[in-house]
Amino acid sequence: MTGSTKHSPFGLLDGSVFQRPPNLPRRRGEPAKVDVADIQGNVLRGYSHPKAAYIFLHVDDVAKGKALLARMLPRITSGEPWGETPPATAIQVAFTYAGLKHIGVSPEILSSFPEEFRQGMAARAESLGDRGPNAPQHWEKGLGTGDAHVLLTVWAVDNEHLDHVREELRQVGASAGATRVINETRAEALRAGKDHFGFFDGISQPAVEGSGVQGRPGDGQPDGAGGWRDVAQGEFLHGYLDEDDGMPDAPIAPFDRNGTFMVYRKLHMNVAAFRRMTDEVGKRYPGGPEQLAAKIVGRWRDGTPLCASPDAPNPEIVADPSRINDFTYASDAAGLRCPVGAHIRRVHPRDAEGFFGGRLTNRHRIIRRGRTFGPPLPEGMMEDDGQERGLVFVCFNASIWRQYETIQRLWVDDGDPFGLGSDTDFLVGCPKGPKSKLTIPGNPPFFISPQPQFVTTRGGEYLYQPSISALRWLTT
Amino acid sequence: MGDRRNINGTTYALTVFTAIIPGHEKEVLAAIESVPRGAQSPLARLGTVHTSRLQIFDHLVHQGPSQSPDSLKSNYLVFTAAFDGELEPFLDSILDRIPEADGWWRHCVGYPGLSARAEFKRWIRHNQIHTSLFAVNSPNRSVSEVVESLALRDQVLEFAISAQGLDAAELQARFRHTFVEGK
Repeated sequence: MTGSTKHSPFGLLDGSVFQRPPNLPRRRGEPAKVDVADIQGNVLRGYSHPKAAYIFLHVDDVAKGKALLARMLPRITSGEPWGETPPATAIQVAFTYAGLKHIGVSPEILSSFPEEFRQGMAARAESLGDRGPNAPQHWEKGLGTGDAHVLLTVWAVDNEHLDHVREELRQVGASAGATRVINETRAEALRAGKDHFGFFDGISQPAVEGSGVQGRPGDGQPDGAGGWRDVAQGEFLHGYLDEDDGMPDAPIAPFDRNGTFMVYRKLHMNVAAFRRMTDEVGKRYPGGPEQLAAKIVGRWRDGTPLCASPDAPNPEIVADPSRINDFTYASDAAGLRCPVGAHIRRVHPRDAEGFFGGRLTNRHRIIRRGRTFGPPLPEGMMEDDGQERGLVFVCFNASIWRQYETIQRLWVDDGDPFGLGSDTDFLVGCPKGPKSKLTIPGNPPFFISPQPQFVTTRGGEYLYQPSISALRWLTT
Repeated sequence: MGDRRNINGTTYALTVFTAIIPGHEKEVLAAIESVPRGAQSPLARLGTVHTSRLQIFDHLVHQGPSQSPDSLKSNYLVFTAAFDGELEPFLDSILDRIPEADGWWRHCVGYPGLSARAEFKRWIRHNQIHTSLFAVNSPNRSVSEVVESLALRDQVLEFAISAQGLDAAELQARFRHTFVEGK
């Protein structure tokens, strides 16, 4: 980092601090066909800033809260292209339903928001699979109770920049009696884009038509001719045509355009349990522990898709951005390459059997903007060290009910759509009793049962991330 | 015979539209909502019903300018059920074993009540419309056969998991014990 830009939150930095893995270079830019200056920046573009903070605020004084938002407005990052190097910090703002209501949005506007958003994530816990240890009564303080009003997400190149913005927000908010921080998670990218289980993550994203960013093969939807097509903008932004060639259902003005729904879920990952399971069961599995882990996920740890290379990781595929995500399931109906119950196949079935060549998956895509939190569990450690670690899962979609909830409710928490009975997603799902299992098709097939709980929900909220102009309207 | 239209394999699909007495819509909705679902449903008691649904049909969706807007003269309670066998014995089983049925039909025009057996059957048949298309997963299998198959599937799965890794001789012995001698 250069000294001249070190203390300027808006300064430009040497690109080396951005930890983008070399095999996933920035997607190439192209002229956008959406109003990028009015859309918050992280919807259509993933940030490679290594540090982030998710700060939930409770608004104590509405007038002062609005004044604070007005002051912050120029610093909210829009989707406008930022040239060669991203700014040192980026800030996004989203509201829960309780938040919009609390700051005085009219009943007429409030009632135009869909039911799932008005209810909030905690009220829908049972259908989302948030049972047992995942249930809202065990969630972190401030989440799922109606107390969280605003989510500020701050991204920064280093902790110094992050702290600078956090402190500023906290002090201004608190000293004026405007807002209080009621829940906060610091997140940090792990080395080389891996998640805590050791898998290269964040590879697949929907290619969005006219978003100003060129997708990679495999990002969009199967085009029926062996290639891929971009997904319609209206699946991720209100005010644009969606995959049905109509306007997506949206709240009324000023929330009818350039805004979107955001899902926030803090997920604890039990790394030691995952290591123990792959180690123990891997001794019995003919392909060994590494292949067993790959069969659970659907990719090898380095990101090689099982569909493209079922017997071993392939560094050539992983090194090629045009191949790392370019695969389909149609020719692997039995799941001999990638199990039907593998995590990536369940949450994004592409053209799998029963999904009519992708014509039944195109309305259920989400833009993922997750980030790992907590320190890595030291290499080789097989027991939990008591540290909190996992993934802050964030996604954007035009309809939480049709998109995120379909994935979570019908594909993660139920196996029926895939012919898997009541088996839940083996990697991220909540097991349904001692009979929950993963079937790895083969001759003979291999079963892993019972299913340990690797991922536990620590809390979550449904949010609305307004356009920049709607944020301005909210300050008046 | 016209009834063939309601049959797929060994499954009969009954669709009944009965007009709700004006002003009784709320009572009908409350009656429907109080009916337990799944295994607790009164229809599950019969052991022959694949699927059944009670719903209120209260408006027609206008499908665009090329169609002139249409409206209903009254609201309807719609009862649908796909079951094993013929209509007559099914109606008998409702009369004999589902006293709750009065609860949801008594707010409909002309309902004679379960106590008037012949009138009840006539009333259902009068309000029946032909089911021209319906989907049942296993139309050639009775509900009890489906339930039995699912239990066997579970048993096989449990066996496959517990027998994982056994050598051939041991596997065969375990299989015989579980599925042949165990019967």
